[in-house]
Amino acid sequence: MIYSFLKYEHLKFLTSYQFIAPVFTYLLWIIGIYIYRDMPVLSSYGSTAIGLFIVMTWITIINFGRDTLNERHIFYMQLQSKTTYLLIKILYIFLFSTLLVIVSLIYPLLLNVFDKPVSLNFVLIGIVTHLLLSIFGIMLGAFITNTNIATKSYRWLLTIFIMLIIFTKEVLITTVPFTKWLLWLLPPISNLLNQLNSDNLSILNSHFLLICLFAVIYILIALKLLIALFKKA
Amino acid sequence: MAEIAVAMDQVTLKLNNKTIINNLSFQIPKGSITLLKGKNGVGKSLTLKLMTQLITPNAGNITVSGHTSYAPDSFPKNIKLTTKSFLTTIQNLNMKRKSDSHTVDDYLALLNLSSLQNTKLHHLSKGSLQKVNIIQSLLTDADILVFDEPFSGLDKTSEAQFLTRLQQLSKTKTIIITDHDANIEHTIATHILSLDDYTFMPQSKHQELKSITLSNQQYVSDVIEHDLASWVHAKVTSNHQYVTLQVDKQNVNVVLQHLLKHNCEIIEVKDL
Repeated sequence: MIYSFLKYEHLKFLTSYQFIAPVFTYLLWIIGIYIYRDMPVLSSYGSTAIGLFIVMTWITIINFGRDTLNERHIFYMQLQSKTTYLLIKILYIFLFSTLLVIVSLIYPLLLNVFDKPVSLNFVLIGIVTHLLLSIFGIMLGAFITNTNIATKSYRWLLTIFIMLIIFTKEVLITTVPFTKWLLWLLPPISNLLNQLNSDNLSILNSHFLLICLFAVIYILIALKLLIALFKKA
Repeated sequence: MAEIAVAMDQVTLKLNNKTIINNLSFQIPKGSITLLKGKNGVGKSLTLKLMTQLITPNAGNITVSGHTSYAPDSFPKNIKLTTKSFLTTIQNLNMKRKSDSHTVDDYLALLNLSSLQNTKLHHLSKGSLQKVNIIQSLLTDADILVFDEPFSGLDKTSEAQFLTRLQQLSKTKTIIITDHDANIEHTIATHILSLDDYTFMPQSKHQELKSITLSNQQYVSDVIEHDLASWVHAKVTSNHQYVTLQVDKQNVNVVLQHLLKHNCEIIEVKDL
């Protein structure tokens, strides 16, 4: 059942050609970043991960936005569950994102643009950060399109607003300290990216692992909340 | 007593603070073919969505015994898969199908759609899309089949073949349809659910009744309850202005005479 619906989603998404704009934008982003030589490894991976977060939000909104109400109703009934429908679609978008993760990691290696040899440690950190940021993007897109938090006409506006807050979180907290009590609700993207400032980071660094653990717990709680809101929507 | 497939008890549905369905109650027996009828905007499609649990009511209880399949009033036009590819996906989603059940090819042949099996869905006509819509709901192994205006856009041959198939299916399944065509009411429907006056009854009984609509004056309830109780089959107060009575055809004249004697203002008398 899962495979059939994944295959259907794949055929439908590919034949819609709507993936072209976000995918090419992301490829241009990667090409732009690696246009220079002797780049630091982890901060370059951080930059591509930010791009992946934005592009996966875009792809998720497009993917969910294509489904008409009647199509959703047909598949809710065929799958006998709204939750199954939502989860399989999220799984498909995640699998789609892994292709972009692979490109993000392999492209600079092929061009040999880094200032030092890429160790397994760097590759693992790259995989973890790209996957986490791509999931954050998918979750944000899924929240925007599958709950009642924004009408169709305000989806993009709200998305851009949330992204701006996510990326300026640290500045906001510094200038308006009390916002730290509200902004912890946002995904810990800046915490994760801050770790990539230096190439001395180890995948086994306890602080890095703690942030990754927090990110995973955050994703699980967000998924649970998404399912509850989706059922009510 | 017959087993119940779908039961609604005092169900109310509001959309944008407007009451669409108000205290609707009925019990659809298993193995029946129920036609939902009513004027535009009375909530036929929403009632179907309540039955399939695609939406939840604001008040009341809905009980559904078994797995339900659903064909909406129109099929999405933005799917660029071929007819066969889409329906095969649907068939594969239903892994627990019985070995004797119809396959995609059987249904494509039944509804004269075989020649379009390799045509992409967004290139199909409205009628052909409707056939795909019907087939996707028939490919499930559901106990209750729900169709929202399935005959819209179908040619006469396909309509006849589909009606025959529905009659065959009703031996083992419960079928619920909305349609404006009187043909269904007089051919295959075993029960009628009228959303104009919230009545649910066997089709044979439905044909024997007339409805009398009168102004809801202060003394009308007293007249009905004290003098006409034994003559009136059912009383429906659809709003504060009107009362509708359902009366056996043979008793209509007696009831009308009695209402006129009490100066009741009669608005309309018609077949149900």
